[in-house]
Formats: sequence, structure tokens, C-alpha cells
Amino acid sequence: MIQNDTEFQATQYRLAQIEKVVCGLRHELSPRAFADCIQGYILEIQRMREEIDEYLLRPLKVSPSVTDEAT
Amino acid sequence: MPVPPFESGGDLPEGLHQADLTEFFMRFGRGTAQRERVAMQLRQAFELVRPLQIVARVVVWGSFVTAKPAPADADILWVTRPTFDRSQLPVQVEVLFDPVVAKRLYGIDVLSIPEDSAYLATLLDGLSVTRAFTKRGLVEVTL
Repeated sequence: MIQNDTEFQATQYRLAQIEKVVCGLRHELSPRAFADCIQGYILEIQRMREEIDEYLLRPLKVSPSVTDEAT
Repeated sequence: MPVPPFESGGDLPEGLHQADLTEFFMRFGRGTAQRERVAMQLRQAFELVRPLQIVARVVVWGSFVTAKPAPADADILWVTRPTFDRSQLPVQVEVLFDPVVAKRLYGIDVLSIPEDSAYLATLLDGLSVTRAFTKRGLVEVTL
């Protein structure tokens, strides 16, 4: 689970690198060879996207000063 | 050159560190029952693949190549030779290239890439990124 913005950025970077690889392999490999090797990348990409979504949708803790201003 | 010691955070220093099978399991296959269990499954996988000469090398990444005492599993990248053809493999070996079945039977997360791919370096770069957005070392095992 992503705990902070640094981990979020690291996950984004890793995701981008793996997506580049998948895009590149689409061009390098035959359709059958691509299909044979793609599943692991897709699972990894899905796992990272789920982590990113979960982090982005997690509510931020509201500081007391913000709460005071709102009331 | 032997695989270097872990850094203070428990990761290997950045880089692709080489090891043969003996050194790899001496270094990473001992210490706790859980680590030994994961190592045994990895060894089985390597022994199935090695005689077929379809894999040029294996890159191991993730918690198995850190100081973590009880890694849940192992993450491996098969770097395949140009002659690699998954459809020609015996089923006992073919499952090691199927991420879902390899995970279920051997507890390993697998990726594969041809050794001549121009994207191998990009992949290794992505796999070496830590949650803290630093780089950690990977281990390349020669089968």
C-alpha cells in the first residue's frame, strides 16, 4: 500500500517504465510471442494502478486549523 | 565479483549483480524457514528450465534479494534466448512462464523478455525502483 507522496511518485515511475516496455515489446515481438509474454506485465500494471487509485482516493487527514476555518 | 553486502536499509547497492546458482542460494536461500521454502521453490524452477537452454539468465528482484528475513515470495525475470518458443515447451516448464500458474505452483512472480530486446534496460530500471524512490540492486543468476 502506498503510504505517502514519495511512494506514489515511485510507483508512478515504475508503472511508466513497465508500460514503455510493454509498448516496445508490441513492436519487437510477433503477435504470438507478445501474447506469450504479456500476462505478467499486465498483472504488474494492474497491481500498481490499483495501488495508485487507492492512494489517490484515500481522504487526507484534515488539520485542526482547516476544521476551525470551515465551522 | 561476489554480490555485495546489503546497505543499511536492507537493499543491495544499485546495480545488476552477478551470481551463479551456488552463490545465489548460499547468499539468499538461508536464514529462516520461510526464506528456505521460497529458495527451494526457486531452485525447482531453475532446475526445470536450465537443461532446455531457453533462458540466457534470470534476474531476481524484490524482497527475496533483500535482507528481509521472511520474503513472501520471489520475483523473477526470465531473459529468454532467441530460440525461445513457449508453445514448444513441456507443460511442466511452460507453467513457469505463466504468471498465474507459476505463482500458484511455485510461489514466484514471473516476467519474461527476450535477451535482445531494446527495452531490457528500461525494464531493469523500473524493477530497481524502491518505494522510497531510490534504486536498489538486482541479481542476475546464470543458470
